[in-house]
Order: sequence, then C-alpha cells, then structure tokens
Amino acid sequence: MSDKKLILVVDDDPDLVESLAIKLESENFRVAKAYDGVEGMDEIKKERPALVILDVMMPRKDGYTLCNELKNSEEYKGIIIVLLTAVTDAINSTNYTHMGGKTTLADDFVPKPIDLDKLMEIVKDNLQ
Amino acid sequence: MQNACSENIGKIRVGGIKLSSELVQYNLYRNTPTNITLSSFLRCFAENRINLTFLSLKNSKTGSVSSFCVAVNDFTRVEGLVKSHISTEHRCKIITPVGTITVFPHHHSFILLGRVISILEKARIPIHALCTSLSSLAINTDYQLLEPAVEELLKVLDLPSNHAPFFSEPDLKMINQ
Repeated sequence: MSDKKLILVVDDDPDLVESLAIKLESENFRVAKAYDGVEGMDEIKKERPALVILDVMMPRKDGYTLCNELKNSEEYKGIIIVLLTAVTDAINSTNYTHMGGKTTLADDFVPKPIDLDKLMEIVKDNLQ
Repeated sequence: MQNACSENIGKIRVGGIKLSSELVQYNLYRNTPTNITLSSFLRCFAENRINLTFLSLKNSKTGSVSSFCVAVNDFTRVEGLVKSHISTEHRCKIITPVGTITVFPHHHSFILLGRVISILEKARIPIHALCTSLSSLAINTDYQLLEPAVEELLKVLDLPSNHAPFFSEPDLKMINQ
C-alpha cells in the first residue's frame, strides 16, 4: 500500500487533466482522473481520494453540484475540494465564476487559467 | 505486447470521446516553410479574445499548411482579421461547418490512430484535419457527421461504462450510447 496521497482530477478537458496529473505525480502524489461530475462521483466512491481538484463547468453533473453533494454527505464531507473556477473578465457569459465558486462549500478555489505553482501550494497546504 | 495483441482482436479501451460545437476551419497554404504570418494571427486572436479550438501546422521544404478552427459565432470577426493578415503568397480554404471529435487518452497508440482513420474512411466520413495533443487525438469532420462518426468509432473503441460522448461547452448536449 503506497503512502502517497491520492488526488482525483475532474475536468472535461482531457489535456488539462493529463497536465495536472503529470505535475502532481512529479510532486509525489498518486492521481486518479475523471472527465465529468458523474465519473468523478464514481471515482470518489471507488478510490476515496484525499483531495479532489474539481472543474465547475462540466457536462452531466457540474462541479458545484458534485461539491455540494460531497460536502453534504457524512461519508465524503472530509474530502478536500479545490474548485477550478472561471474568471469573469475572461469568460463573461457563464455562471461558473470565481465569485460563484465561493458560494459553495469547497475548501479552496483556483481561477482559470491555472497558475500551477499556486495550485500546488494550495494542494500541499490542504493536505498537511 | 499482450496489450498490443488484445488490441488487435477486440475494441481499444479509451477514457472518453468529446465533441465540439459548430466550427469554421481555415486552411492557410503558403509556398514557403516559414510561418511568420501565423504568429501575428495568434497575437491578433488573443487580443480580440477569439478562442482557437484547433490548431495544427505542417511545414515542409515546399511550403506550409496552417489549419485552425474558430466558433461559427466568431466567423465574421475572424474573416476580417484573416483578410487583413494574409498576403498574395497565401491560399486560403474555408471549410464550414466542421466539428472536432476528441478521443482520449491516446496513450501514444498507433493502433488507435490506424483504427480510427480506417473506420472513418470505410464509412466515407471525411477527415478535414487530424492532430494529437498531450493526451488526445482530435479529428475534424463535417459537423453534421459528428454523431454518425461517433457511432462508427464505437465499433472499434470501448468506453468506460459510466461515460457518454459529450459536447463541450457552450452547447452541452448528451448523446445516448
């Protein structure tokens, strides 16, 4: 059994998922991947990650819904959630904004486009 | 090696399929291999906040081909930019409407690439452009053929049971498997 912590990355952009996986693995984490909220929930049930990096705007089940489901669940509320939010001046026709993300029960937030160093800092701080 | 053999017999397991919204594809042909014009295009698109959903460059001794896609809603703006940037050295071809099918992850598999091209060719589904990224294989075809193309691909690709091919934003729309 590896003592490396498991992080689940959920985003509908497969290249972003892969980029984050490469970075996280280089920082000595194990990584699971999912491409929408439904797959994300299945992975959480199966793998029990320590932390979830969760995009907000996704098909089938968006990140807000998944985040709130987890945080309202006795079983999963301890899983740390970092939401990837959109910045309003970059995408002005969406509800999935950084401000919107702050209304959820997520533990932390990172605006897109992602500052990788900032994201790694947040991941490490939350897993300490 | 065992994996390669089993791939030859059965379907190839992939993580998912993603479909784009309606796009316009530009092919810019030039008789010289340099591509300074494209750099200025890219800067211009960034300044105008025009999203490029697909970009591929092909350089050879005899010339270059740059292919890029933008959303149909950006077509009028892009048309103006293209006209102001291209010179007489360029030939421009516009294909519309196109859609991008993204198969992921590709795991650097030539078998996957071969099967995808072969099945689409057999079904007479045109491939207007094809490229790979870090984890994905992206294929451009006619927009109205996206769903038939997915049906063909599912004959050779095996998706996770909890995955359904999905359209990317802004047109979130599900395809029932």
